[in-house]
Amino acid sequence: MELFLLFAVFIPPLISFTVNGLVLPVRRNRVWSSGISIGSVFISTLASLLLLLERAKLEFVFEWIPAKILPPVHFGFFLDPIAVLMLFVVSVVALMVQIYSLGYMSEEEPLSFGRYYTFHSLFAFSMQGFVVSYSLLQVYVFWELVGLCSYLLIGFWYQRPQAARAAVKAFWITRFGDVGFAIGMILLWGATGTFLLPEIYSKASEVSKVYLLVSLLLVFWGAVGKSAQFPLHVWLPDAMEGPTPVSALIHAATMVVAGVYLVIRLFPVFELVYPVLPVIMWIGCVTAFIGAAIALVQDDIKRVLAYSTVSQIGYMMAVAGAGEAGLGFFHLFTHAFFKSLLFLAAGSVIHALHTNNIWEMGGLSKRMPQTFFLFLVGALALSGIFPFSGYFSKDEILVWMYHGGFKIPFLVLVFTAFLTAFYMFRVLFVAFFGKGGVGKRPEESPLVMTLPMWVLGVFAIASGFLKVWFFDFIGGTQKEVHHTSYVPYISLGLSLFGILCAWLVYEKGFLKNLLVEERALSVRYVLERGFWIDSLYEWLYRRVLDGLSFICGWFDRYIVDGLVNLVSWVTLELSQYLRGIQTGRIQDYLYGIVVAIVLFIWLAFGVL
Amino acid sequence: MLKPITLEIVLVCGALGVFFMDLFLPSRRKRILGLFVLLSLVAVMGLSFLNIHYGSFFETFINDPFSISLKRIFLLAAGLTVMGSITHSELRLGRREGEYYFLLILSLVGMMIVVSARELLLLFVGFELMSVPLYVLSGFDKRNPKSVEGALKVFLFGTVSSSLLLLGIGLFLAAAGTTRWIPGGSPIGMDEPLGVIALAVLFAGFGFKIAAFPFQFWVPDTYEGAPTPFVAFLSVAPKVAGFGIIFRFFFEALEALSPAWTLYAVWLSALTMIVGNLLALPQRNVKRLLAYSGIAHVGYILLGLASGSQLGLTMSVFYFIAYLFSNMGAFLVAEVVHRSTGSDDLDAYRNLNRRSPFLALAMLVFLLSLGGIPFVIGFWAKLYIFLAAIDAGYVFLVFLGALLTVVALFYYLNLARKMYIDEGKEEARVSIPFDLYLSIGVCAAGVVLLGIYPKGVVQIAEKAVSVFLGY
Repeated sequence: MELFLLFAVFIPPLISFTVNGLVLPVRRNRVWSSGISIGSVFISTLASLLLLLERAKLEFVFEWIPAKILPPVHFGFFLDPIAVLMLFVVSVVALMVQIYSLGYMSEEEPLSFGRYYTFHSLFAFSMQGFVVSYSLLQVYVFWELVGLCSYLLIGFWYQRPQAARAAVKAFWITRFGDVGFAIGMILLWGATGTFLLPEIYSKASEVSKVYLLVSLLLVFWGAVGKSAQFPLHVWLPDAMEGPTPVSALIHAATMVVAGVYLVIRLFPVFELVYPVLPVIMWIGCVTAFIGAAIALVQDDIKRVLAYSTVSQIGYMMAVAGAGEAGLGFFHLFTHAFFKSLLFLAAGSVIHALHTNNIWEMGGLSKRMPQTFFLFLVGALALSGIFPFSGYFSKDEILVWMYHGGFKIPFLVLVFTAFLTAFYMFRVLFVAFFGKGGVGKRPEESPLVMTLPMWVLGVFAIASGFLKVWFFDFIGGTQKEVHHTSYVPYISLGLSLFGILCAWLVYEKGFLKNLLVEERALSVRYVLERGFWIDSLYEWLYRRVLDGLSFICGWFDRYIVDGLVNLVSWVTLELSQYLRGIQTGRIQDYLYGIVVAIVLFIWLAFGVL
Repeated sequence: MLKPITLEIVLVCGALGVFFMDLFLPSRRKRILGLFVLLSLVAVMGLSFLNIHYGSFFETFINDPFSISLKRIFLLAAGLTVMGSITHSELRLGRREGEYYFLLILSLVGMMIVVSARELLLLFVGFELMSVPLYVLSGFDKRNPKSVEGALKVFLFGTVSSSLLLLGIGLFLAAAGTTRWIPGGSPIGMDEPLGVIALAVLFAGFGFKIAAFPFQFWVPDTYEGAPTPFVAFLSVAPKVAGFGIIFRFFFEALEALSPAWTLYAVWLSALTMIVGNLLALPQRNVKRLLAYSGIAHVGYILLGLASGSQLGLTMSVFYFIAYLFSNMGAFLVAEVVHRSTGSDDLDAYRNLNRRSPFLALAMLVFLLSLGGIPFVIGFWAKLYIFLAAIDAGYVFLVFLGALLTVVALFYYLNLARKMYIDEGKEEARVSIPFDLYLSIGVCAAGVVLLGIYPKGVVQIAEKAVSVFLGY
């Protein structure tokens, strides 16, 4: 039964992708292409809900390539509470985003509309396949597939040069991480002789520490790339060139947290060697801070949200690195809902105004009340205000950091919480109450867009209250919870203070000259340049890589190609000679047979 | 008593049914014939899962897992061909569906007999029953001089090979004193000079059916002229039947002489791979190109025979199935393109992606499979056969085979380039008849799905060859 439900989760999107991809008349038809895609995700959602209610547990392994002559390659599916919850999150958000896209993408040509849904189906399938993968090799296959979908959807409007460039950049940088993942995975396989996760758990403890350390850090490098952690976070903000619903699904709720999910999956192995977890924690902390800091000065509403995603994933990584993967997963769970809600709300604004710049918005709270209310819900959740979901998950993280004895990371993350509230409400006050949108008369988005937002809004509020159920469901990984801690009050206070600051600066104009208009302020300059990380990469690319590739290119063009051309010339000449045997005269052919028989007899007498 | 030949009897009844229906059906209803044949093939396929009776007629006719598996392969090939022939214009205009299907089924029956035979005269009868209808069908398009030329060539070659076979049987009888063989036992006197000559002559006689070098000369001309859906059948089923005979006869009857015939297989494999691949390079006609590429594939399958091991045989059977889907699919696509443009030239494929994305994609899948690119079934077929050959110690042959695969990729991808990259004048959409849509779809699904999950086919192949080398 579980197996059937599992197939019901991820096979329908595959069918939808195949039909949409192969049958042109379907892809050309708006109703069919979107109907099939949404219907398939709807089935997935129902099935994953059933799995959730059943508390399904499943291990299903099969041999992919027969084993007699090759090392066995096992594939399989694996369901535990974490995977079931993740499936549920992926299906629900995917369903909401696909429904929302009906409105958001309504101005597309039919064919490109169909293409959009084709990619979405492929994404749903790959992401769900990733979640339930039983072997590391399978993880890698789906990992690359979601990367491909991300590339295709970021560059969906490939006619726009920025979009095409952003797609390539995202692909490049995540690939750079994936190389590490691939090498690490193969190293692990070399030591344990298996790709199956449970076998890796049990055999990893026998592997020498240094070897394990190197391979695990390489695997984590893949997670750094995929989850846009420092120093590979630079692709995510650019990825905002894709359609906004895509950002909500792929670049906020599901694909970018794949790295966190991988860390959670491999946590039993990561625990084994000492400096791995601290590395993860520190990368998480640095990312959380950098992301929030850069988000302070962005003028593009989607880029603010993108940097915020970078920052929030930093929280998840940090707490996983601090030894409590379950808390990271809880934050992933709540974050998926409120961040996709924020993106959809931002998309609703962008759809109405056709601009991303918050300074060209303003006064939206009156004209788009539903969007405003939902954005507010998302912003409160993200800032960690009680009783919204972010409060529960983020404060659990902070409590754990504080009581676990990670003082400096705690301070960094608490300060980041303050920054988070500040940048979120900066956007809120400027975009919804500011005066930038003078003369524009935006309309509230249609029901097909607001309804999915309401659903996600309900989740963004309710998912926090599921805390006890959640930890009960994933099964006691959480260590002692400090109910009496005073940390929540500190962080709540700081967040409220952040909101207050944003209100003072952007609504009341307090210190506005200094913070908004004084471009020369050095901190602001540093932040706007994103700590020069992009520039560093560009320099490396232009000076080092280009130089290297020039040398390789010369070698390839003259030495390698020369050899290849020589070989192909020889082959073609040879085939011209051989053509001579095909004379077209039957007599010649029969002579050939006679010669063959004589040779056969001669050969046989030779060996027998 | 007739139970072991149930499949053959049912098929012959089907053939007679077609024959008589053809006489009485009004000419505009003749399309029913194709459906009838298809249904009877499906029925026989179903029966093959029930009919598990082993030997009979004094053990001269046996249905072991090997022959049953091969019979299913033939039925599949015939089914796909019939499916792709229903709207064939030559049949429609000529009103000769009845003959076409009748001959096709008879040839099929012949194939089913030869893979079950453990007696040389029965084998010869089956061999002729298989071959003669093929000659007629090759020249079916009788107004086309190329078709007639091709039919004449295959007929002359076939006659020579039949006479070689008869000569071999005579020599065998003279040496061993019998025309029957029992598995595992080596007939007496076969290591005498007379027996050795019989071996060589028989191998040459069978070599014609598998179209290995130097018995391949008829192939391109015949393929070029014959009706394309039939060529799809001709390029797969008789070759498989030929290999079936070789496997059964040499592994069961002449295992003791294996040093000699594995040596033949080694040489033939190397030469066939070289000739097939190199001669495919300069071809401009897609049917000729596929003909030569088919010859090259025989070279690869011979690698499995050369290994002389259970593993090699298993992988050869796997290769049959891979080759069946990819090669038949490619010929069926050629048929559609021919109907649309009236040409088999490489240039007729220019810009095919614009004119019919489905067709271009299907062709690409078949070409990738023939070229052995992961992860379509042809990749596993090549990989497995190479592994088996390395296991048997033929590293050099595998090296040669792998090198020639690169050559093969050149001509396969050249065609793919025409379809996808080259600009073409023609923009008219290609319309695909429903029957070909279906048969090409089946082939493409087979190539892709079995490529993703090849294990089932490997198990089938393992079961099929489990009857050999087990004694």
